[in-house]
Amino acid sequence: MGPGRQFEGIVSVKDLILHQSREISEQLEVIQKKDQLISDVMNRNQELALASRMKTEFLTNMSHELRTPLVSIIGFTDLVRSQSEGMLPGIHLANLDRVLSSSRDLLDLINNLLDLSKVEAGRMNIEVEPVRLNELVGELTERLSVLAADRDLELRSAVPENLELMTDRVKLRQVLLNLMSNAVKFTEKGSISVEVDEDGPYVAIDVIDTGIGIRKEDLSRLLQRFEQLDTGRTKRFQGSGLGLAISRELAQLLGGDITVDSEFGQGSRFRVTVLKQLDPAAMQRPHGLSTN
Amino acid sequence: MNTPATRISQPPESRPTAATIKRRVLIVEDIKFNRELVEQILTHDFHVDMAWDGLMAVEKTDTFRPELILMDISLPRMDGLEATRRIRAKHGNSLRIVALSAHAYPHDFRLAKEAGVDDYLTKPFLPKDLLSMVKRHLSK
Repeated sequence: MGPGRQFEGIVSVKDLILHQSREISEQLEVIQKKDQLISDVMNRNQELALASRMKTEFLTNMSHELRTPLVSIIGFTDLVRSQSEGMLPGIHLANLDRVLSSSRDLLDLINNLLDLSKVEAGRMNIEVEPVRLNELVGELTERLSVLAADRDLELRSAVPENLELMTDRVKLRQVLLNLMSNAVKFTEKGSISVEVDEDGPYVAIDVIDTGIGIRKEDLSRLLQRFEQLDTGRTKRFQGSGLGLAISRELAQLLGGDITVDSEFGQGSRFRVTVLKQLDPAAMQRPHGLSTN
Repeated sequence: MNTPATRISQPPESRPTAATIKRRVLIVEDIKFNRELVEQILTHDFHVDMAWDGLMAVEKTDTFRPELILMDISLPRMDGLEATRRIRAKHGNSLRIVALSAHAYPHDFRLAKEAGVDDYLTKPFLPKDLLSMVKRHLSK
């Protein structure tokens, strides 16, 4: 019931004043409510900032804690492996190689966690240097060849010999390693091939596999961070989600992106696009925008 | 089987000639397995000694007089950064300090450099990488 109804008769000065003072007090109340809302939002923001900082610190600490036992796992295994050549039966040497390979996978995963916290904290530095793409791809193919041979997979790459990029070697290497090792992991038979397509200032590197492929409904979620940690999907995307999401952020830092094209049951094509000549100073860094 | 001749000829590392005396490396590490790992990697080529924490590391620079220190960063009693600062204050640049740490932020490298380390190796490392890094620094 609005106050207007009471003023249909004679409007006295007193009533007018009463009416106005009521209006003022109502407005005051609105203002107070607004202030309250604003301070609520500000408090909430502070809480969120704190939570985000705590998450980053947690990831950093976890990374340190997880790396420490890996020091002796990797170190001692490598020592035994390199000192027992010709002394242990081949099967034992091969098993030691498996331990080493798995511990390196674990280390990659931990490094990914650390990278995630770095990207989120905006602490990811870019170091540009000349990178010969065919050498980089060759090195990665070499590293994955043991794993691929285990499954009778063919590893192919077609990279122009003289293609030299100015980019961050470590990050590009990490992205390619992630895409290529995923391809090996998810392909039972057939081949993995790496192809390169130059497109103006960009270069697109395709990692194509003949693996299990990805369902349509899962495609869009694949590059979202932590999708992998979503229970129930863990089996289908075993070991790929976190690495992929980080790879995508890294590709964006390199001026590009990652896209996926897949036919369930037929195979997948992961395309990473990066700038050929990366100039970090000229880029609007995507830092901080990644927490959507 | 051993003939007198082979018994007389000693392995080169135990001959106390100036050219073959092993260089002294101090391992500063609080975790037993990691200490033993680094010891096993280096013991063939170097004369190694251990410190369990930063305070002990500072003391050992006077008693063991290492030419190179492998310094963990997270340590009980005194961390590797403070130990490095004290050792630099005491001995200047007369010895080399390599940080060996599982902290892997660029920020951590910077802090270590500011404290006075010459180099930084991230844990975990491959034994051959550690060995070649130590050799490189001691050949300078």
